[in-house]
Amino acid sequence: MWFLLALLTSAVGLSLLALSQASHWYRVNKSHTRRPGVRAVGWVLIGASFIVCIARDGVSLAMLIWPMVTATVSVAVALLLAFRPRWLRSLARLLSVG
Amino acid sequence: MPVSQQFRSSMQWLHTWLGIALGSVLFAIFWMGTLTVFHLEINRWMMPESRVTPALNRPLDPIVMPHLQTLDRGEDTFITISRPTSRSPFVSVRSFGGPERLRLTLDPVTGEQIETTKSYGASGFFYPFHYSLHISWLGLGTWIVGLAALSMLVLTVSGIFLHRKIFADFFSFRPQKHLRRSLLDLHNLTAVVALPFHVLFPLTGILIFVFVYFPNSFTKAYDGDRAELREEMIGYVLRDAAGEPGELPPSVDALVKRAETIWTERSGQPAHADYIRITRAGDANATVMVQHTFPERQVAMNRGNITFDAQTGELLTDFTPRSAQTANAWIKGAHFLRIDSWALRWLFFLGGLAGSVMIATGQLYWMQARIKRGLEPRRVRVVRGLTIGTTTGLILATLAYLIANRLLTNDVRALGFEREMLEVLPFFAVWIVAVLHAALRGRAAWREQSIAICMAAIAAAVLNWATTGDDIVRSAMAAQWAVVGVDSALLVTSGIALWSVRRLPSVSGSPVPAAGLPRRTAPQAKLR
Repeated sequence: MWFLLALLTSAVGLSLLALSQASHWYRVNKSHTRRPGVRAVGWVLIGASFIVCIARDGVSLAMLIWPMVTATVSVAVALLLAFRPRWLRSLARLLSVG
Repeated sequence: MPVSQQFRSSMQWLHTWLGIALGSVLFAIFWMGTLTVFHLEINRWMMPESRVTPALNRPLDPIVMPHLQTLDRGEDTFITISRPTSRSPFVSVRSFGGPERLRLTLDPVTGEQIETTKSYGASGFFYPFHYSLHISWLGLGTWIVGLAALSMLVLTVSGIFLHRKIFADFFSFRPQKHLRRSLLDLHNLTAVVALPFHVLFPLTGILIFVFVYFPNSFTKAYDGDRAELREEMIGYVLRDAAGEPGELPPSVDALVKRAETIWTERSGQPAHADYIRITRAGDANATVMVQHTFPERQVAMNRGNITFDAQTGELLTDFTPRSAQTANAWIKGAHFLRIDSWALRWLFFLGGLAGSVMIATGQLYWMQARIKRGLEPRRVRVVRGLTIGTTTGLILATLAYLIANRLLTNDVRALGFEREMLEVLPFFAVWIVAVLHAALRGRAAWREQSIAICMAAIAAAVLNWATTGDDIVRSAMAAQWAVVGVDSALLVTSGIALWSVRRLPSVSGSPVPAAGLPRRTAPQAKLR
């Protein structure tokens, strides 16, 4: 369960980081107006996933697991943006203005 | 990264030519290393008789002692006993030296001897391939692997300088654009996101073989006294032979228990011995070493050894790695991945796949760029043969090895080869044919080899079911997760191959626009 939590925080965090980039935001939302702070929240969640990894496995193992979780999830987010960008829309709606 | 144009072009030159020179070797090392992550699981798949239910912490004496007592032992006889683990569920007994050899796989509960399929499996083939390329002559294979690892580090650093927009392109994969763009995107994506992995593995790999690459750096400090070095570094004690015949210890379990008690009291956590080694088994100076790896959930591969006198049971040495060795143990543990963490195992497997994809796409991108620029036809053939043949060709060869394993009967001998070798021959035969096919077939080769992978992967999974009766559902019901894992991986491989077939250029010429992939290029182009 802890591992799923690490994956989830990492996934949301990295998705937000991707959405904070203009081209990805447009691809998902078909709109140029972006909400500020998306990137900061993304980074906080990525940090949170590291803390979850430490809580689960200790620092020594987390230092191996967390970078690999980040790598795997990053590829997943890139594939999602390439093939199913709409799946990220609800996440983006949560953050978009109005 | 703001660097001068001249610096960038020299990095470009380095990255390109080092990549081309060693790309094929690097792909082989990465691919085999990726398979090695699950080598014990692949062993279960390839040796169906060893798919026994794990039974841990059973007494060893009734299982191993009858075999040890009847063994014709000499002063050079060494016996190793591996206790069952969840990944390797049987008792394994082997002996080396001396007048008689043992090589037994025993059921952990009944003690019955298990006649496993005569195969190198993954541990005897993929694993040595990963670090030695099976070139044993002058240890050349290990040196080539070391050189490749060093090059990998150089390639990684030069690649970072070359990449213009590391952060802007971090999540970019544009499969709807032309083939070269998609290939470069995949190359950059798999390289950047798994950067720590791509640095950690070559680096720790080199450090593991530092004994081979710098043989004198350690022995010098001990005035060339290797025995003393061994004892101080790994706690390995080998006494001189007494020249008189000696008895075996009356009970292995008793010694294991004593060692485990000592470790448990010291660390405050339950310790589990996993390996026992009897040296000079037929001599009065015989010793019994009990070893444990990973008493806790740590990355560091710390091995504690306790050595007893086989005759008297007297404790001779009690070795724990010193703090200076812990850094080294972490490095090794990170690479060898002995830690009991399935999460990390899968993540490293995916990391290995990412590395393989990175190398393959790098090579294929270079090939497509060359062909586009109008390379003369003969050279195109060489380039195609090398890049396609060593990437998709190697995957096909691996599948041929698995298929041969399932098709050959257990007592087969042909052409003067044992069964083990008859599995290896198809591997190399298919590999060579794949290289030739890629060279001669032209632009359709890539697509055709993907079709072959798609079919071969399914064939391997079906053959496992046909020859053992274990389909995925049955394996899952029997909790044979190793078999479920290999079968599922085969099916996923098949699926990915099928997807690439739809993406790759067909025989007729122009790239096939992938069905189901609407072209969504306009908005991105506008924003750039």
